[in-house]
Amino acid sequence: MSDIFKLLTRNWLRSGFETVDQILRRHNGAEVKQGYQEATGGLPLRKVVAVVLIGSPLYGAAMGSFAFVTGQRGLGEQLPQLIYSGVKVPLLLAITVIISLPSFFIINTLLGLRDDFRDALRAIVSAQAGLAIILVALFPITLFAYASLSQTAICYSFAILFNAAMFGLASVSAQVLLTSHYKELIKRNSRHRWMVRMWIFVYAFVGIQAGYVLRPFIGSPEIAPSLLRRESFQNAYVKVFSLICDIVEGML
Amino acid sequence: MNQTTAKSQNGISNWVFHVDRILRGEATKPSDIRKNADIGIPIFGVAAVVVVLAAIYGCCMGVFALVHGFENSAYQRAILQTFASMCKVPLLFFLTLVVTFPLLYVFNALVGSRLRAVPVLKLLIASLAVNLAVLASMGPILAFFSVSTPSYSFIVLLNVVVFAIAGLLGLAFLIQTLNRLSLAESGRLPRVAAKAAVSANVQIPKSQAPSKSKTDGIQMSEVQGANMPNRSIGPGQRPGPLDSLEGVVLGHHVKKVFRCWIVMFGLVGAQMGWVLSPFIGAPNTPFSWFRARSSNFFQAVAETLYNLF
Repeated sequence: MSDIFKLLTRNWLRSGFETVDQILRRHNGAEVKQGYQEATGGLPLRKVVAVVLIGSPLYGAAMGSFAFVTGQRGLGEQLPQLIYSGVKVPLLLAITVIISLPSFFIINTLLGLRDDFRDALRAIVSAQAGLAIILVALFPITLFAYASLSQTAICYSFAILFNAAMFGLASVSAQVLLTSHYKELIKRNSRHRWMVRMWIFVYAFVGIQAGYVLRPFIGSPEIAPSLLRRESFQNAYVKVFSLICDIVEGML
Repeated sequence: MNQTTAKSQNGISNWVFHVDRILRGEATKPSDIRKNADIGIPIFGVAAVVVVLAAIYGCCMGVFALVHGFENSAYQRAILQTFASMCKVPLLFFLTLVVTFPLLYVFNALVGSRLRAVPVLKLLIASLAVNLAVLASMGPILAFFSVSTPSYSFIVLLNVVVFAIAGLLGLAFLIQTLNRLSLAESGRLPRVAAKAAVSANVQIPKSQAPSKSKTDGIQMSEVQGANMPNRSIGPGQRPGPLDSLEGVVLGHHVKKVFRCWIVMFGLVGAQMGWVLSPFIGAPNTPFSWFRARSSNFFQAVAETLYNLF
C-alpha cells in the first residue's frame, strides 16, 4: 500500500516538475526552433491550469501568515487569514483573466486573428501559470522576510510594500514569459504585437483594481481575519489620484 | 453565397453566425462583395443581435445603479434604472441610425456612388454590429468596476472611453467596407482584391493595374503606389474586416464627405446619448426616465473631469 502511495506521489511530483519546467523554458531556443505548435501543443491546458490552482494559493497562504510568523498571533487565530488569502490569489488571477478576455477575443477577431486565438489563449494561460510558479519561488523569501521583521507598528506597512514589490516582480516576469510565447505569433502576423500590448494594458488595468478590492491579503495584526473588507470597495485609481492631489495641494 | 442565404433563413443561432461572419471579415470579403456589390447579411437578423448586444451592455451600465440601490435599500430605483439602461442603449444606436441614415445615403449619392439604399443600410447595420460587439465585450470590465467603485464620475468617464473605443472600431469597419462596396460598384475591386489576397510583394503587370473606369461617376484619386507592398497584410494572409485593401484610395471628394459624415455621426450619437440620459443614474437621485436638459454633452464631460478629483 505504501509502495503504491510512494509510486503515485513520485509520478505526480515528476509530472508536476516536468510541467513547471516546460512552462518556464518556453523561451528555450531549441524549443522555439521546433515551432510554436509543437513546443506548447504537447502541454494540455488542464495541466497548466492545475499549476495555477496549486501554485498561487501557496503564495497567498504565505502572505496571510504575517501575523503568525512575526509572533503577534497564534496559528489557530491566523489560520482563517491563511485560507482566505490562499483562496483569493487564484481568484484574483481568474477574475482578471475572465473579465479581460471577452474584449480581447472580439478585437482579435476584428483584426483577422481569430485563427490564432487558441494559441493566444494558451500563451495567456501559460503566463498565468508562469506567474503562479514565480510566486511559489517567492514563497520562502516572503516567509524569511516576515521572520526577520521585529514586532513594531511599522513592520505591517513594510510587509505590504514587500508583498507589492514581490507581486510586481512576479507580474513583470510573467509578462516576459507572455511576450516570449507571443514571439511565434508575431512572426505569423505582426498585429499580434498590438494585441499583446492591449492585453497587458487591460490585464493591468483590471488586475490592479481586482487586487485592491480583494484586500486584505496580509491581514493587519490588529484586525480580526476577514475574507473581504467593506472599505476595500473603493476605486484604486481614484484613490491614487486623490492622494497625488493631496500631496500637490500640501506642497502649494 | 447561396449556402449562407439558406443558413440565414432559420434561427437565432444563424443570426449570431452572421454577426460572427461580420466580425471575422467573411461577410465583407472582397470576393463576395465583388460578386454581389452587397453585403450578404440578413438585415433584421443582424439588427436583432445588435439589440441583444446593446441590451447586454445596458445591463452592465445598470450594475452601478443596481449595486448602489441595493446598498441603500432603494430596490425599485435600482431595478427600474437597470431596466431603463437596457432599453436605452439599443434605442440610442437605432435612433442615431435613423437620424443619420438619410444623410449618409444622400451624401453617398451626391458624390456619384451608385450604391442603393439597401446595401448602405446593411453596411450601417453591420457597422453597428461591430460597434456593439466591441461594446458588449467590454461590458464585464465596466460591470466589475461598477461593483467595486463608489465614484460616479469614474464610471461615467470609463463609459465615455469604452464608447469611444467601440465607436472608432465601428467607424473603421464602416469606412473600409464602404470603400470596398464603392469599388465593387465601379468594377475595380477584382484586380485589387486579387492582388491583396495573393501576396503583398507580387507585382501586378501594368495591364492589370486598376485604371479609371468611365462607367461610374465616383471620382477616385488614382491608385497611387499600387505596387507598394501592404504592410498590414502579410503574404498569404486573408484581409480582415478592418484591413484597407492595397492601393485602394477613395477619391478625395468621397473622403471629404465621409470625414464630414463621421463627425456628424459622432455629434448626433453623443447628443443622442445626452438626450436619452440618465443611463447610469447618479447615486442619491430619484429615478427618472429622462432628465431635464440644461447643458449639452461636451459641457457635461468637461464638468465630470473637473469633479473627478
